[in-house]
Amino acid sequence: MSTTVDPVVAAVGRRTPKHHFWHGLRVVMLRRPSRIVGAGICALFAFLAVFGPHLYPANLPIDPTAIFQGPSSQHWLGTDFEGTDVLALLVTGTRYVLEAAAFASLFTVVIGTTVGLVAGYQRGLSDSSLMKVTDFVLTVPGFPLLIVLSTVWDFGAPASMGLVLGITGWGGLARAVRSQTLSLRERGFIEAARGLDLPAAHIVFRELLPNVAPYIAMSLLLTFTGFVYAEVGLFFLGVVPFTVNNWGVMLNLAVQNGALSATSALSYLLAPLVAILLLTLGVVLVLDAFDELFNPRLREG
Amino acid sequence: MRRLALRLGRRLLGGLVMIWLVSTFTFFIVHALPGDPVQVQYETLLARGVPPDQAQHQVSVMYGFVPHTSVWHQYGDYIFGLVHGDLGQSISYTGVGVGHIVLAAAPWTVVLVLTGIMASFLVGVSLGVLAAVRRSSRIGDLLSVSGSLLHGIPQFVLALLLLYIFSTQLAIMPYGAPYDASYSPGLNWPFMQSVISHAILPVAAYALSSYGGWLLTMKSSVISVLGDDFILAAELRGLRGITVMRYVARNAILPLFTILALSIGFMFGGSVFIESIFDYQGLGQMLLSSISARDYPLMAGAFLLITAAVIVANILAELVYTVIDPRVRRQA
Amino acid sequence: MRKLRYAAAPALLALCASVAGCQGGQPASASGGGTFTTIDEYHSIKPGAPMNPFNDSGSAFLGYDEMRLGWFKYSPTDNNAFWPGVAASWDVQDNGQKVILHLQPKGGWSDGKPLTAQDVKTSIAIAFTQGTAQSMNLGTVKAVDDKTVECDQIPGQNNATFLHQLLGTVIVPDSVYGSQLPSDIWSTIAASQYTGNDQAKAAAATKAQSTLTALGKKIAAFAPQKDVSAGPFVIQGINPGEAVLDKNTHFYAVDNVHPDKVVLRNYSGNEQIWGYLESGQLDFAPYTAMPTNVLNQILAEKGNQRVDATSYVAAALGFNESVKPLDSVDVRRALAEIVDRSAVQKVGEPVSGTASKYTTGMIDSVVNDWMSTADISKLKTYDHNTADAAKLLQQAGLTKGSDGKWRLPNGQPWTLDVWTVNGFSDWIAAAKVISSELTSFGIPSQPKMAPDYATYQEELAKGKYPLGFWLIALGPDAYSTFARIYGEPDGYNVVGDKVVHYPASAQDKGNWIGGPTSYQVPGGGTIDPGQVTYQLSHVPVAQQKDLVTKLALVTNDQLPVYTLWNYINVQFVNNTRFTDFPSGDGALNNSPGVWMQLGYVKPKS
Repeated sequence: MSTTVDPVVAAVGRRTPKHHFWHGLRVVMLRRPSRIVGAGICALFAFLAVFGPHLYPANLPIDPTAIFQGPSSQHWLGTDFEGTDVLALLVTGTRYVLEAAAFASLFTVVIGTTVGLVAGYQRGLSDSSLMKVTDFVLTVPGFPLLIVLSTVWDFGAPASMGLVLGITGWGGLARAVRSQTLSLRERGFIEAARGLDLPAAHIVFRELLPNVAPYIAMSLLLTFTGFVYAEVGLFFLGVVPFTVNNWGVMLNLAVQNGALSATSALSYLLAPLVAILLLTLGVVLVLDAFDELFNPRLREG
Repeated sequence: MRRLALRLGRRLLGGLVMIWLVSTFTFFIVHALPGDPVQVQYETLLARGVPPDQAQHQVSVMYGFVPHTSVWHQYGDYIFGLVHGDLGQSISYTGVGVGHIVLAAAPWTVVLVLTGIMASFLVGVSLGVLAAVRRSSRIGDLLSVSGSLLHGIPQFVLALLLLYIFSTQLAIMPYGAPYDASYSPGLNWPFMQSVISHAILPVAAYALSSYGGWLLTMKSSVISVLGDDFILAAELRGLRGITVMRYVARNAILPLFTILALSIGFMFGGSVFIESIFDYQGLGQMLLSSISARDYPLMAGAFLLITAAVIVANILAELVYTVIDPRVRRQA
Repeated sequence: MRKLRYAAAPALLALCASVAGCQGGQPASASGGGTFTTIDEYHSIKPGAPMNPFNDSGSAFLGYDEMRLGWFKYSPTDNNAFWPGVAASWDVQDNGQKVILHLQPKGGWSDGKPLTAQDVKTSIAIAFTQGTAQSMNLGTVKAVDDKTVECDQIPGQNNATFLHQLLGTVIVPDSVYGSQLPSDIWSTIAASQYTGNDQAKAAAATKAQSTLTALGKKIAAFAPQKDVSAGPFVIQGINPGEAVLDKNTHFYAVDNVHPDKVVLRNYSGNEQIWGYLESGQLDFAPYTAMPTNVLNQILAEKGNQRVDATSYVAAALGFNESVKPLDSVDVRRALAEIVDRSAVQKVGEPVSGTASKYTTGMIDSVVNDWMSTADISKLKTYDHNTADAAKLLQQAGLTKGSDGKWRLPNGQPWTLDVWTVNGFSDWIAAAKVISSELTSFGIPSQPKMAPDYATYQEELAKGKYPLGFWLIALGPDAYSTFARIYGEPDGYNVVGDKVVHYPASAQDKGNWIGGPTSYQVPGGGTIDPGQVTYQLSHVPVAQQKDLVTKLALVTNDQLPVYTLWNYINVQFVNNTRFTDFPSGDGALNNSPGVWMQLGYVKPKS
């Protein structure tokens, strides 16, 4: 759904000088306190992803005498089925989740933007063939495909998870970038650049790209959360082997160890769920700011 | 009209090529899979207490359904079968036709997801109009943020929470079957009621997680229509309030129908989580269980059906769009 | 078109709202005997599955509508102890070569037809197409009269499990399945059994065998229109998720059967079974691995009662002896002493396991049945003792570095990962404990997971895992038990009627094939464990003790596997609706359908 229903209506075509952008960002962020909160949440998760694993020993200690304990001063979020601290699991599990999603977003942006720009700018044969490929990627249902792929692909490293997610997920962006490029192409400043006989690479990357960049930035945040859900979902379904600790593995093990059935394991089940919800909240709040920044039409009314 | 037929023909051809590509792709993925379905079954039998020699003999029938020719030969057979509408024979069901099995599972996915899509579409579109009209008020803000949040929450999170609250803790909602098997299927009220009560939680999970998307799309669509000239003209002509809104809503909803058609296409594959969490045996569950049993033909069949639905829906969406939007029709 | 959609959607919503209030769940239970709700241990109920016991996903439920000639009593020392099923009694003649079956005189099918010798003959013919008749060396089958069938082993064969396997034959109605078999089926079967040197006859035998295999495939995929059962129940309604069975009034012991209806729920994971149990919906639930908190929650529900039966399964660590230094018995013994079995069991299988006492290849509770006290006292217990383990490792030439980590005799660092399977939560949890114990001892270790069981087996066969989990002691009989460690997975294959051992280099021939073929028995003599195991399938139970003792002693001494815990078959019954559940291993290891045949399970008045 996230690829087909796109809540972002981006208004592009204005060239915004850099200082203007930062100034605007500050104004927009400060307009609502919720946006600051959102940025704070995102920053917290980024911090956990980078430093989280360093806060704990490489192999988290287990304690067979303290299985499924409730929250306490020693274990803020309780313990899991082998007596490991749930907070520690949550914190150390953040890195894989965010790193894989970051890789996936990177692949998506690189492939999607390139394909979209080239197809939209070049038109003709390269456009139609690139769009055929895009259609193919868009048509094959992503999540079932991931399930099928999970049987032959090793998802142990975040980069390999990110690669597969990215490969299956760039279609929507490519299409959107292409349609924007198509309309930008007819604008005065591009026509002027073409009239000046500037090389195509220059026009595409120096003239067109900055103008679609805001749209890409916004859709990036959405796809990023989409990738987080997809990977957590794969681990949750148990189709991917748990070589590493992450939120999806936590969810799966919580359910397998009776968290749905026994209240004593509630904090173990809720911890990753709440983390996902928090991340979503943070992204939504930041998106709200971006939305206004790039889409002045919303400011009217 | 002829143009339309030509266009349709081209799309159909494109769809067939796509199906061929996808089936080829799945065929080779599936053949790269490690693991042997017969060995899986052998171990299952042993764990049931069947003596080893007997277990070995017992899996010999199943072994007969595992193809042992070269990959290219198998590929040829597979494509030949597909052309004749034959999806092959399942291994874990020892020889039952894959077509029969997937068709037995598909209706339950359709019931589940179609209801879910319709419910979320209706709720999302109505709230979207409200959010657009009241976009500068508190309620508009609230709707937008709640929409983005719910749109953002993954389905499995919502499904898990619903299951935990209503089926496990309160134990007021059934799960694990599409209906109570003591009722005979048909158009009778107890049966329908049973189907509905079993589908409420999964449908709710589906609708709750996707209505936000409709809300946001409808909102932005309405906002863009509000700025159109003909609305300004209507307002200037003195038409007010509800009449103008009807104009707006009608025009704003047009693009959403295409998305609706598309999302119906994605429904077969879109309910893996919900089916798995509520133990509802549709196509998604079938895909998952066929993978753990290493039932290659069933897996390929389920995936093919899921993909074919998207392709067909794509073609339909374009048709729908052509029919309801005169501007596109003229371009065609 | 648009209008229609607008109109239909609210109506649909209204419908949902109107039933949301009404509670889901079962309809009111039938009068009198009541509805017995449970799940079938062996079958989840799958969409599109035929009502056919020969289909691997088929909707046929053992003990309810799927009948056998007899029901095994699960005696570890008497493979031939059975309760009557379709066969009311049987005579064994000619040293076990011939069995005369006397069918239930009052037996009838749910469609009213009587149960006859022809049904049994058809079922046995099907057993030939499924390969099961061949595995018991069944030769000829004669209908002596309408209710009597004579079965003979192939002359010259002496299969000790003949009666056991024969009584396990599934009996289906000739009226439904007879038409699936060609009229010349028995001559095809006879032709397929030829083993002499006549080339023409041998060719005919090969052809007959492939005819049988083709028939077997056809029968496995066969989908009868309706269920015809000789058992206490018959399927009335079925959907992907639930099966409802009604009492079969033609069942031969219908007066024994008290419930009117049986509802079998579907499940795709343990969580669903726990959920049903916690809301008190199940009258019986078979074994699921479960954590303690779930157990407590289940027992808190009114009427739920825990019933333990012996489980003939144990979880063990398998050593790949072709990987150094695991070829050294001292190293294996040291590892056994580093691992604290009770800590492992406490995390891995807290409810339905007991930390193993001995590693013998058998479950602990049958050790007393097979071995004398004197022999038992020879068994090593491998108690948790890291000091002794260090000594053993040094004895094997390993050294401990200044960094506290052990090094191989050649000076290389030693790491040892513990392999398990994704989704096997008890193994995974146990593997974490084991690897953390190994790591803190100075052998860096990580729990590793294969994506699924199919991959696990394949990688095992390729020798990729030095140390991995393995289910052993899949009994109850001695042959099945030891075949798990000295059988096919270990490179011993039965070819014809001889045992062949493949060397470690023969890939894909087995999982643990690196082991030696000759073991010194503590107290004297050497044995080839694979040969001795194979002998168990041919020697009468009375003469097996000596062989079992030898195998147990060498297994304990040489540690090709290391037993971590014995499973307990933890089941649950609920006594709010029914009483008089059986106790004792024999019945409890059978399905509730069999309990009902035996007269157990009465409605509470």
